[in-house]
Amino acid sequence: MNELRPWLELLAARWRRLVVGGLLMFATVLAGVGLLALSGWFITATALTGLLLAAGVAVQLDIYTPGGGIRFFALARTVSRYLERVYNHDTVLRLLADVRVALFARLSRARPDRVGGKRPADWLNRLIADIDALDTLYLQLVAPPGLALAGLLLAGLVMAVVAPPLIGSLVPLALLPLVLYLLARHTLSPSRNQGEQAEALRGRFVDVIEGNAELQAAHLWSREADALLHNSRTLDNTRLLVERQAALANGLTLMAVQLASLIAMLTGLSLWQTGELSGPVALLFTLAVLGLGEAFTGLPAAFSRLGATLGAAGRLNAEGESRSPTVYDSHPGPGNLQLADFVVEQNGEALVRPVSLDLPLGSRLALIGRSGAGKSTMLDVLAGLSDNWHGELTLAGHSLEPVRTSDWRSGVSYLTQRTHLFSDTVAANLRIAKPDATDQELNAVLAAVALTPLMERLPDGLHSMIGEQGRGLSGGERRRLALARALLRPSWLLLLDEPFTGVDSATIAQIRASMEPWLRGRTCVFAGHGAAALPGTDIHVNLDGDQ
Amino acid sequence: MPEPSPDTPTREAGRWLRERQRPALGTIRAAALAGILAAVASFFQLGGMAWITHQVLVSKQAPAQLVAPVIMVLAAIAVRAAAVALQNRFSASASDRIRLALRRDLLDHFQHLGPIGVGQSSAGTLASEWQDQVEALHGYYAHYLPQMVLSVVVPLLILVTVVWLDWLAALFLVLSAPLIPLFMALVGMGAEKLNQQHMETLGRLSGHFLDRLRGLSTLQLFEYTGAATREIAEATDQYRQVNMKTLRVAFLSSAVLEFFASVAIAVIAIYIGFGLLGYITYGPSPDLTLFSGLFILLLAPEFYQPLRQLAQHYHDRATALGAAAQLQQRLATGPGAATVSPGRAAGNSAAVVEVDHASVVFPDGRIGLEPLSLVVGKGGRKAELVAVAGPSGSGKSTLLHLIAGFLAPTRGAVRVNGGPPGARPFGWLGQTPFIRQDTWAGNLRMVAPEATDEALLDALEKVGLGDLVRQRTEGLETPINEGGAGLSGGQARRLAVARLFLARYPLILMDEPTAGLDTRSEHYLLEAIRQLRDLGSTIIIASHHPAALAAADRCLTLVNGRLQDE
Repeated sequence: MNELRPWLELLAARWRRLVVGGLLMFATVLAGVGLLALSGWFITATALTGLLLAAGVAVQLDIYTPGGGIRFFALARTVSRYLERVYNHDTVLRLLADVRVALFARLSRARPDRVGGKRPADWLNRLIADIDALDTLYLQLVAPPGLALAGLLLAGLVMAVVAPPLIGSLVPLALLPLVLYLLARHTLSPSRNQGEQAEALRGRFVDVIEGNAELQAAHLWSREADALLHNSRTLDNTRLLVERQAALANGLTLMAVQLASLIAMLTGLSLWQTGELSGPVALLFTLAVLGLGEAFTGLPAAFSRLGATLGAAGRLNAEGESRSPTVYDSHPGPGNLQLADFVVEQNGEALVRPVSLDLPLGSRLALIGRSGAGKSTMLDVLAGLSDNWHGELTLAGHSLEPVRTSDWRSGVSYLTQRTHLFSDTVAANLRIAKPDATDQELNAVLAAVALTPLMERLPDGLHSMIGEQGRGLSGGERRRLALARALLRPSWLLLLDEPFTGVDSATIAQIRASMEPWLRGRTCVFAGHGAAALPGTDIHVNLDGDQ
Repeated sequence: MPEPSPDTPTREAGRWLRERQRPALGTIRAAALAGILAAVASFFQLGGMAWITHQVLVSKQAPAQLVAPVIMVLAAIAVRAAAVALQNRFSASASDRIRLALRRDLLDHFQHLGPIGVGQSSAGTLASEWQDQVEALHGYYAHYLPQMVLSVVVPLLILVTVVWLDWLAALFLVLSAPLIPLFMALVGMGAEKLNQQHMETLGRLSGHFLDRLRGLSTLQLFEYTGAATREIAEATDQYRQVNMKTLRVAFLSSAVLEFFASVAIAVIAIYIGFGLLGYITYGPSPDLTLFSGLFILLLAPEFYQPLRQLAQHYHDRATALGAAAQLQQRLATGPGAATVSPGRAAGNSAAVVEVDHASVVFPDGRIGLEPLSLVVGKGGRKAELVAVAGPSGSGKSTLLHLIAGFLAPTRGAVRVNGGPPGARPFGWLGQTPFIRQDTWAGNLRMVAPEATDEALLDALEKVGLGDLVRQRTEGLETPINEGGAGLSGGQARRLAVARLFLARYPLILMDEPTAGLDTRSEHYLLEAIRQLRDLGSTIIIASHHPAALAAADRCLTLVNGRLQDE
């Protein structure tokens, strides 16, 4: 249950709203109980009075007060129900924001290369599913049990004052937590891992789909498809188990509620016989207990999801960092960058021959090689994203590891191969690099990457939306916008990985000249297939070559 | 032809959902029956309780004399609880069975589509359909469908019972009965609007959040995460405000249902009270007793309960309809030109591959391949290495797909070993090899179940993976993704080549096998191609890598789907 603590703390920060929402829910239940109980009282009272009247006894029954009461409860139930739904929906939406903000902050603190799994798409899918599971924490797992408990306590209190023997009727309801506990216990461990299982199954499915040419060629598709279905049964069986347990708990809950009202009735009637309770009041309690049952009916379904919620909370807790990471070395400031016997590796195999280089401040290096030659991995190391390397790296004479150097990344601007453009305006996408940039600066950097014609074409210029992942732009325009963003960021080390992908050669020639002022004074490292696809450089390193 | 109306897709999806319930029709009916049984049991329970009250308060019997009715009430409660549990249980297995059948059908459909048809959609999209969209149908089959039956049958049963007790009270329920279709519509409209609005907000909200999550590493590189976090908070708050405006109205429809249910109870209670006091002398009212009055009062809330529950499950229907539309479309996509024709039975040629005036025109009219004839591996040259070169888009892959049987020729014929292509297993090496979540041995033995450990290690040695496996803790029995390390793209492709060594296919097709490889992997791969040929496999390789072309016995060049002279 400890997994839930950080998320319950998030809820607790909004305790006022939760209390008001809870009271509104309680008022709805009370109005429902009141409506039924008073109606039961009224019918019994009128029946008994009617009999006396028929027997010729002169009795009086005030029918207007209970009649008014019944109408009041009918109206109150509707109104409080409506208010409760509106208010609590608002609360849930606020909590939704809290959960997302808290999680995003945690993820941002993790090292960039440690965010996301091997398959970012599957990881994101699971993450979103886990967040959704936590969205219902308040409405499913916190409020309903609280409500049921409060109802039970109030009923007990009223009974203790009016007719203590009636408290016995609450025993079946008081036993329900045991049922819920057993339900949670049986379903907890299998359903806790549902998220991981779904992610793994998704991975396997993608493997089979992507390898399906090879599988169909080898006549192995049916076997792998069967294996996939077999795998999916694990998840299905967990789900079935949870639902069967919940079905049982539902039946037991219904039995407890109905038994409670039967006991209340029988107790009330015997109290009437001994003269301790009037007949109408005995019926009032019977129907009140029946009405109270409504607070219990949703609990089994909610508790059957406890395992899945705990699993989701546990997985989310493991994502990201709760504190800022500790960094060891200090940053000596911009200077000469030297590599000696520098080798990057992947999965334990060296990708390139050892490289030794001297890069004075303001010099430019081109890494040339085919895809897969290790260029991007080298840039990742220089950007402080990866520690898959050995050899020696010195800055201004200090030997250091970029990943473990404080402020290393604040001096680096890095255009990765798969950079992300946000579903926002052109200006907002650029200002990520320099939040205080003026419109003039933005226009200048856009001119450097030959995007001025695009800005003139777009309806709102800098403030035009570019669509999800920049889909409103062509591939070349997207790349150039990303390049402009990297150029705009103030930094002494500029790393550009295949900066001109998808850009036609005439435009490349133009940009190579116009971006020159933005490169001046910075140490630049470019990576690409050939020198022609890169800005002008002093030093070339060809990573291809023979083994 | 019927007039296409705007709700046709929804209706179509609804029909599809009903069709798909076939494998579990009996179970769904059983669930509804259990629900009806629970309702009937509840009549006995509530009636019994009203009877006991009447006997004690009016007929002055001691509770001890009423053992039989109490036992009946207890039995009714037990039956009711058991029936509810059974209803839930049946619903769960019905949904489970339907979803399993659907997932199986989807996989069969993917096989039928073949690699080309499957390749039209991203694996991620297919995965989301196969898992998430199929799951999205659960609520419809497990909750909505049985409840739909109950919300019609149970109110009717209650009405009949109340008519028997007091037809005037029943009249109050009947008067609200014409309102029930209205309620249904109101609930439906309200719930649908609510659901739409909620989904839209959630969608936009998750869209914004997802966009920032996807770009998280970019935000981190630009040290912009703090500001982005604040933006997420602002955006979600804005969405909340917009959403709440509509929700305030949308919730009104469910409030109306709630209002009528409450008022009906209130009106019936007051009518019965007045009747019992003798104030109403009309119709059956003078005959009202505490038993009938109380029984009617207890039944009144149950009259509206199924409808209220249906409203709660209404979003299940909307979710399922959305998913159904997508799944229906997926299962309806035909394989296009990719059906594998049965082909003529064994021809007279003994060649490994024979392409006879085959041409390909794609459904959109593009020409994939001009009529082309080709014979590979005939007579003494059984194990031939043929390279197909040409610029991208020239038809190299189309030719390979023809020979593989992934694509049927529009005209002409293709024969492999004298039979239809794909009739016998062959080797395929593309750029994304299949790697199973299994051990090294499991990944190799999938093509050669009988192979010894030595044979496996030997095959790995040939592709330069021998050392990597020996370093692992349990050698061949080590899971391939041990410690989450996984394989690099080059290593995965080399593993696939190791499988080719073990399987000894007579024919191997390779589609750009060296694209994007690191130097080491490329070296092993080219060496392996030569060895496979020497071991007796006929290899056709689409590539423009100079080393691959140099190793080939024969080199074909395709330009714009046309074979250039050799």
